[in-house]
Amino acid sequence: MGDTQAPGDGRRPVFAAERRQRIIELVRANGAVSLRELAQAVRSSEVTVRRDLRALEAEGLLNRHHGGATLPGELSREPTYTQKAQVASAEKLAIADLAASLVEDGDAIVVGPGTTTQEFARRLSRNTELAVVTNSLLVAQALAGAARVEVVLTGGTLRGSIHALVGSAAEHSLAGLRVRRAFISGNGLTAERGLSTPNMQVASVDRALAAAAEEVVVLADHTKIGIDTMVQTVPSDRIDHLVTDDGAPRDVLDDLAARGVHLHVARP
Amino acid sequence: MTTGSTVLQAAGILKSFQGVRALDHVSFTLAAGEVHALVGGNGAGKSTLVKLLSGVHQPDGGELRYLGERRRGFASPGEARRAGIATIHQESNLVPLMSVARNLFLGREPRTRFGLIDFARMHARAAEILAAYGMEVDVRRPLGSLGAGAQQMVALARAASADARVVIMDEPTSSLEPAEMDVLFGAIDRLRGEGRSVIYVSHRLEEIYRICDRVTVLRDGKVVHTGPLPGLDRVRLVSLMVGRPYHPRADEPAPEPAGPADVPADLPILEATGLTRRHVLSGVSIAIRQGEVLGLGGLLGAGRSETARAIAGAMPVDAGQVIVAGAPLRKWSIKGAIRAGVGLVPENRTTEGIVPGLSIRDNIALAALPRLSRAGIVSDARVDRVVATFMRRLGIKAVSPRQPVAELSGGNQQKVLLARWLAMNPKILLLDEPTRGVDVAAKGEMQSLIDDLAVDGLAVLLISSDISELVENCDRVVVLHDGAITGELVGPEVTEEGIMAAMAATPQPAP
Repeated sequence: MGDTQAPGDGRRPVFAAERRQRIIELVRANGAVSLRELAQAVRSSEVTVRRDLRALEAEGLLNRHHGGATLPGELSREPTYTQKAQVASAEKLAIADLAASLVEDGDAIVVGPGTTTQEFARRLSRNTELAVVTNSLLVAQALAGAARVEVVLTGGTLRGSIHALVGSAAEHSLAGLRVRRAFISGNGLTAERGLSTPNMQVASVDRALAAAAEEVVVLADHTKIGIDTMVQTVPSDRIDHLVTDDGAPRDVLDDLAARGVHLHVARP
Repeated sequence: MTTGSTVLQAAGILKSFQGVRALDHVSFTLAAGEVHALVGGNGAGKSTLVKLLSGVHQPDGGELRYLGERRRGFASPGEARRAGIATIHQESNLVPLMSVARNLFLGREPRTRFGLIDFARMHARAAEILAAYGMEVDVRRPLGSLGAGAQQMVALARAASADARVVIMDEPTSSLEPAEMDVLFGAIDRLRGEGRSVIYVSHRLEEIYRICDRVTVLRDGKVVHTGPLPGLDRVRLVSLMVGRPYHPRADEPAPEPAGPADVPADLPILEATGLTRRHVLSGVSIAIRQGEVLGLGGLLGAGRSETARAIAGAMPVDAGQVIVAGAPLRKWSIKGAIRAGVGLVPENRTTEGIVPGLSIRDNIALAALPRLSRAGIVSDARVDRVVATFMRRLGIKAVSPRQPVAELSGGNQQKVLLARWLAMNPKILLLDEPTRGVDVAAKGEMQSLIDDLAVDGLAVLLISSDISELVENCDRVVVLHDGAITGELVGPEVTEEGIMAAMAATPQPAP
């Protein structure tokens, strides 16, 4: 039993070479694709795709990353935390102030990593009966002194450049969680593709954060609006609120509002 | 059922061998008239517990309570036997050259008034006792002339007639025919009816559910579950035995609406069809392609190692065929299989592979020597080159290639064994429990090594009792149960839940 001839249950015999060809096409079409997405698309296991990527990488056809693949030579650089902290700091403070007003006592929220969310977290220490789940060490630290706020850190692998926990352990600890709002940041936000980030692993956790909440609140200053980076994390129609500053391009904001995003514009 | 009072109770039993804890605070209760299954994987502690209860070993700590009497243990097998604990092993401890009747009454033969054995009475009694177990044999024949099943029945009848309060049966059915099994189960029922207790060690789920009242699951020397069998889901029992949680994701919204998995279309490099051997394998067929890692799952004794050994020519079969790269293996021999490109890295590396006293170099070069020599002369330089290549490639950590293998860690010994086979340039590599007894880091290395081998185009058969290892390494998984295939999982179907469900499935009779 169990061999491949004429499977009658909808299973389809596919040659390994065909499958690898499809993987290359998928990565070409999408820029970057995660292992899980690839496995689903080619109806194989992640184990099989993992080895396919290795083989394709050995042939120089793809670049393999932890958790996915990109085309060779593609730039996907992530700015470090210190670089980001210097950008638009006055706007970030104003955004943090405004976003904090979206939190009520008794809420349960998840907070993603970032310089803006760190500022946002600092403003939550006066809240009471608040439960905060986060994968950001900075957010956790900002709330360390808040006696009435319960802080839960996810597990995961430390990504030093952004002081956040990523990887499957982080995603697992978010799975099955249900909170009212997710407060997340990203590296770019457009009306067409929604929120995005240059890194695959960070993107996966951001998605998991968004999936854990009924409503998604994006914190993004004007430098990020209209910018598209490599990996989509939250599509626009899944974003409920955007907190930004008044330097953001009007047309993008209008587009987002047309897609049902509530806008909160801070004036620094 | 006349279950009631407790016959035997073990509390907090400790037992270590050379500092390795075999039993860790094991507690166990056996009621009168109860058939109690004792299950667990390799190294779970079943046999240690059985040996403690039958007086072979004595506990390091804890307490036994037998028939209301508190005691440390039994000083010897004889003491346990006299106290009424009879043990029936896989290999019966009877005397094959003596008659059936003599074996039945060994040590307590009926005597005439002159003190001689009363053969007439002994033979009549023996025939009577065996008839009660549905056996019609000439009790004057030597025991050794009977089949394995019949011998087992004699052992059981002996134990039962000897006023045993507790009968311990260790894998009693491994060599029985179906009809003999029915007789055995009838005998167990009788014991239960008479208020005697049975400890039934087995890994065959069908039997356990058929005749046992309660079950105790051991894992890594600890009791992980004890309770009644009716109402205990088979998959749940499997999950307890293998130590992985079973939670089918029925309540969650299906995360991926993935259709049926794709199956490989490439021609297999290895095709084994209808491998059959009485009591061991029934109609096992598997196929592996280049670059594919096929997992072989199943409980202890399901026939996984036997399948690998059959493919490698190390175990004769009654029927079946092995085809490598389109050519059938004609001679059923290890040599023939190796020549065709099949390498088997066996489960027990210390007894079946590694030569501990020899150096890493010699252990690696051992099998490949004929290839590395010309006209019978071994070229040292070539051997050194090959050994160095594999030590680097597999990341074997050692002071030098001349270091004795015995000084290496388990993980590195395993790599040496792997290197020996890779030096033979196999097309197919059969890995039997490659990470048993190695640490977590070595497990991770083995995984990336298997990836490398697969990417290089080797076909790999991976046997593992560690279900997560199968999930993390295999493109496909075939699950065996009782020598037959009960499931094949492909691609996204390869999940811990899927494997456990197939492990718990009942085998269909071979076509």
